[in-house]
Amino acid sequence: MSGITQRNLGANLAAFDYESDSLFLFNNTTIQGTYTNSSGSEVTIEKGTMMGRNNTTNKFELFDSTSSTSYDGSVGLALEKYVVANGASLTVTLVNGGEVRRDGIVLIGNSEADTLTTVVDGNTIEDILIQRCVGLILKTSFENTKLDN
Amino acid sequence: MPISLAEARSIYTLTIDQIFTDKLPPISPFTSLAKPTFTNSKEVGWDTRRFIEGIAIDQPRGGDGQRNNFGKATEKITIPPFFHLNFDITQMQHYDRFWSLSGSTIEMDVLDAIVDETSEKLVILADKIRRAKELMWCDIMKSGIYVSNHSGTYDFGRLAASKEDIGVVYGAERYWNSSSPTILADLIRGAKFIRTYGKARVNTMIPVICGERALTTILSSDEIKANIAISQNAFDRVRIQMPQLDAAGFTTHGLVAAGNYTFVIMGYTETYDASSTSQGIPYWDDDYVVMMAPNTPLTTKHAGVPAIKRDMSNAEFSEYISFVGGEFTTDNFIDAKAKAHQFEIMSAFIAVPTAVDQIFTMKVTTEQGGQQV
Repeated sequence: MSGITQRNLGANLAAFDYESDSLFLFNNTTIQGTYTNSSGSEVTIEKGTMMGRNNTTNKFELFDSTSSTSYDGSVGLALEKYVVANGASLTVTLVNGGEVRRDGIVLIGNSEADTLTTVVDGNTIEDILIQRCVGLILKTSFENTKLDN
Repeated sequence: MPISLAEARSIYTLTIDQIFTDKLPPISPFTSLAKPTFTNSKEVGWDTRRFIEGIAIDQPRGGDGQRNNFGKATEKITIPPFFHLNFDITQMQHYDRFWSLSGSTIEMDVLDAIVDETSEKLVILADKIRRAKELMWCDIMKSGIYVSNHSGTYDFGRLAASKEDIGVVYGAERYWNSSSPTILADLIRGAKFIRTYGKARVNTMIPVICGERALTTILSSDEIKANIAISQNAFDRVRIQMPQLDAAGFTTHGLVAAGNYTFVIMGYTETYDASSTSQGIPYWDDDYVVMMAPNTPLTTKHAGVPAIKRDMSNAEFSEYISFVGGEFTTDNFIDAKAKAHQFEIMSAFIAVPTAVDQIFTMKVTTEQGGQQV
């Protein structure tokens, strides 16, 4: 997770934790499509969120292991963060190839209950990502640094 | 016939030929270990980069190799506590004589006296601030937390495992002046913490700075006595000598080996006065010992303080306030209403244990000899 987190260590002492870790690592390819927010409220799609194409509407939906429509076509990971108003449609760019940091993948379609090892129709979500993309490589990495106390 | 007060005060009938003062420059052992840094900004910051002692895992040939990341760092920013002391030279006795003895001319010996007296008082106030600095360092060494009177708490985030009360963690009988002490094992545990969490090379000599009761307990303990007996048979694991005052102000008593480590047993004797009736309070608690990695980076960070700048050639702004850096900043100004001429001294600093996990503190004794209060 990249970013800066502030911690207050007293009224006049503050710590700022800097973390940088790229999500899309190497040689990535993308596809584009439309996302229509029909959820009834504003939706925030974080960078790295898994989405899948609904073959009937030809639009992308948030990947949801309990909804057969969200994984019957191509899948991919949101290239950046999108905030979509209720009822609005947006062109989203999804990464569908190249090296991706494995622990940066976000699964929110099923109220965050899904994990990469959740089995859907006989395949884990990780396998669905690999099968329905054009060469997505999920990389783990070893972090050599840590934050101060 | 008794000597009258008028005679005693007179410069014509009396010569004071000796002055005794018990003004002592403070000895500040912990402060001496820290590197002072200075800036003229109000805030001071520092960065820490901490690493994991990882092990490389062999990889298949022709594969991708292991991906590594160096993504985390912490920056800390502080506004240090502000020390601001002043006194009024119009209250000093020489001041009255300074201007009134011979009308409009200034007598040089009286001028000398008042300059001496003013600078002496400023040094006394600087020494008070130096003592506050030493006490701040003791707080940091004891708990990692400095509680300011006016700017809140400064918590440097020392891990709970680096601050042990042996009686609470292991039972009151484990206090060093109780029934079942394990002094050497306790020292080893501290050294291991400094090595594993502090990432310090500690198989050299580790200073163990002891409060008074802790020190006398170590030196009279059965464990140490047993090692002394062994040493006399040329298996050298302990070497206690006459105390030696080192340059920083600690007293060094000798060496004790435990496990793979050599500990330098040091005492701390300095005290301060809380008031004229509450004197001789030890800076460092009698019941505590602190161990640290040799050469751990300790820094006393001095920030800027607001000072009056004067430029009489500037008609519009002949005086202005700006931040200046330094250990001490002095200034003087006149209150036209109270007819007071004040001198002030200021300093803003914070004691920073930059490598927080290279310090290990234990409460090892109690006044009651192991009985929990």
